Amino acid sequence: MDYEIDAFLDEPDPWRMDPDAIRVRKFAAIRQAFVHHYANCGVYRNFCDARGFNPDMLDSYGDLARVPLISTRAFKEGLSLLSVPQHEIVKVLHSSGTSGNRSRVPRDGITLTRFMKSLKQTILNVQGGSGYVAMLGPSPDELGDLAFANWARAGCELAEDHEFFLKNLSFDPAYCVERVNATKIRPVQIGGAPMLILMLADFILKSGNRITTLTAESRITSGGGFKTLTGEVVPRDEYDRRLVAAFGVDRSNIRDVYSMTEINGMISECARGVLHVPPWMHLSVRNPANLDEEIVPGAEGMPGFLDPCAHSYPGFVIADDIVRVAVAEGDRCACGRVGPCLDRSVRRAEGAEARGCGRHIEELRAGAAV
Amino acid sequence: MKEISVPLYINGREIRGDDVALEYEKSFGKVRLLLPSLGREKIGTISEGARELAGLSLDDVLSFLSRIGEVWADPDSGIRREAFDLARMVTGFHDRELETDFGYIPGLLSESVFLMPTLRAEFGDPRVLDEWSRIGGSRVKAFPWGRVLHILAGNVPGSELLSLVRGILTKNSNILKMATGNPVTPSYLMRSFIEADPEHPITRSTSVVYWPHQAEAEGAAYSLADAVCVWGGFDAVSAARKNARPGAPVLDYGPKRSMIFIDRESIGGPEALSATARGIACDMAVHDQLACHSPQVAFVERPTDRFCEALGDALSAAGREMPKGYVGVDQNAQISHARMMSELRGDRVYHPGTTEWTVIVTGEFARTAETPLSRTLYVIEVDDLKEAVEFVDPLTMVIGFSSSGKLEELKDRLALRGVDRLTRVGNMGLIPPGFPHECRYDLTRLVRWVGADDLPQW
Repeated sequence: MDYEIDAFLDEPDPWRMDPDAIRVRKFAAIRQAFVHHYANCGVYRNFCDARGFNPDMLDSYGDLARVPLISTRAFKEGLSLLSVPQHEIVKVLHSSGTSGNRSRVPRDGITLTRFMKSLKQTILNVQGGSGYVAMLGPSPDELGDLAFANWARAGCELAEDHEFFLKNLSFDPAYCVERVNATKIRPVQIGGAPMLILMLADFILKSGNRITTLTAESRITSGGGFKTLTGEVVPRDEYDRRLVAAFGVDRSNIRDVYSMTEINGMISECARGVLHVPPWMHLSVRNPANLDEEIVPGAEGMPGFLDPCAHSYPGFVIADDIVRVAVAEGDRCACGRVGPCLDRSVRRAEGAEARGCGRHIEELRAGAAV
Repeated sequence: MKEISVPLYINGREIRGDDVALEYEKSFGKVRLLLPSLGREKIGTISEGARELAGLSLDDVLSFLSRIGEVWADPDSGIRREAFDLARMVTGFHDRELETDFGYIPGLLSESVFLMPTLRAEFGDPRVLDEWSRIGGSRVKAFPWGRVLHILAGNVPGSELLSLVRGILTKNSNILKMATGNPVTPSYLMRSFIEADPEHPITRSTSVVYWPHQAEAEGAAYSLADAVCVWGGFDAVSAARKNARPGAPVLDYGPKRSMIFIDRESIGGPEALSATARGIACDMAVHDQLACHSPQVAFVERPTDRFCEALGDALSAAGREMPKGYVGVDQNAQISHARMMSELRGDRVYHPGTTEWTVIVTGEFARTAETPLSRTLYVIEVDDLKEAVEFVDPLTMVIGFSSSGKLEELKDRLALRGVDRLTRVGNMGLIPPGFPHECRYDLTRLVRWVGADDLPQW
């Protein structure tokens, strides 16, 4: 069977396509995916039926706002969200975090192939990455089935050369500077977790041992959140300021990536500092007080994604995050690429445990000698 | 953005500053509270004040607290009005909730309504705080521990006063560490002390402080504390246990949650059903479910359909009488996620089409652990309430019953499971004098019982 999404992923630069053409192709891809998941995933079908939505009702582009979205929490609870037979699952990619709190997303060969294509599209067309990649993180082999490993793998597959600098969970900034300065390949790209990038920046600022191979095409790309090991959040402005001082790059070349284990792709910052949603993925920012409603650009809402790359599970998900739309769908960002884009002020929704009295009740129950 | 200076107090002396900024955005727009930064040294100066008030008679103590109560009983009092105006901007609670909370303050400070009945209930004869008394074959007197550090929670305005009153009644000196969620009421309580008598020994032995998370002032405060009262969640209680000096008692209040037991007879007829639902809705509305005594789970004898519908109606009515406080984007997101997850699991979800209230009928008790609060109740169907007993443990604070008969039948078994208090629905948030709190009588824990035998010489 031919899938609309596969042809879409082969476009040379989907972010610069005509917005009307994007809508047509995106709708076709998502409709095809919805029909597949409705037919093959019983849990999702029941969920849709309970909400009064079925494939006959997905008739036009406007109907995308009515496609039932699954909370990303569902993937942490082990609900059976399979749209293909179990034996077709090649990998169960998981999120970071404690074992009890990990998202576990089953992917078949079709989904994995699209995942890699999707990542590479973003790296090539939004991040502009290739050349030498210094990855401040463990190698994909060490990361195992962590979804983050695929980002690292995709980045390195596109590079002429690369090196992973977190070895046996140890990071040596002096060695990293030495290795990055030794490469003859340009441009040099640095990527990884924000905290390791900050460690490198602070080492450079303190030692004066600078990286000399960075050029105007170099990007410092992070992913995974701006929390320190002790849980403090480093403000983005401060992060950018320290990196500009340490690496001597333009602030527009400091980029962050937003993603989640449940989607097949990443949402990457452009030089204008907004996060570009891949054109084949539909962004539907929902009203937190009523998930059947979309919110207007600029207001805070919960990010829903209709991801037609997902074949083995319904990739119609809504995350525990709070976002704002910075560039509406169909509009163009100042960088020239088509929207939608999210403002970079993405954050986790604050949980009830932060307010109430009964935090960790279940963990405490488990430990209680009753 | 509105900026308001909130003073702190060391031994009754005001300190102002603007080094610490706390920002809030609830129903009345953005407000920034400016507080002074208290470092290790400043906190250390608390030690220059009196460590305890052993020289004060109980009459002196009660008389002073009654004077404070009069200030808060006057709705036109400047302090009360200012505190109220700031609390509504900072806490997010609806005005009616705050009016109720502020209305409790004079009662809590009243000798006849709360103080003396509580002293009598806990000590028997409270004169033991003033003089040596014979108990059994011994002469004993209750002495203060010294400095009590109160780590306050921001979820329930009023709990800080209860904590402070216990510390004062037992003649301890007190350090109130305000919570980020409510840095208002303690500061204004202190102001009322100063207005009543700036040189009173109670005023001069009370400090109201604040420090941001993991500030070094925290260690200094713990090093001064002879006892600790800690209110809040798991992290706060764990930190207090870790930081308290060896030998210093730690009285913890939280983390807890509460439950409801509904028998078939109580929801059989329309009138009984309606009364039961009203009581539960009232318990859920108090403090928008943020308190330990707020019910989060109801065990209900089958069938539950009519019960859930009646409860929905009652919650809508309660929302008109005691409207919900500010609900932000994050909280709405949690409610929506919880509902969606329940639907995915096949649970029955009742709601009014807004996030005003939610009732979820689930078959698995484990699912009740993650609640968005905000007037959300998990209902678990049982054939007989006896089946529910096994789910009660020491983390259960209050169980509200729909009938006295079932309460009487199950009270011993539930007590042995670890519950703190049993009552009827509609009363879960009330604290009658003499009630044991966290299964303890804490006035008696805030004193050192000293014996002076007069046994004949050997």
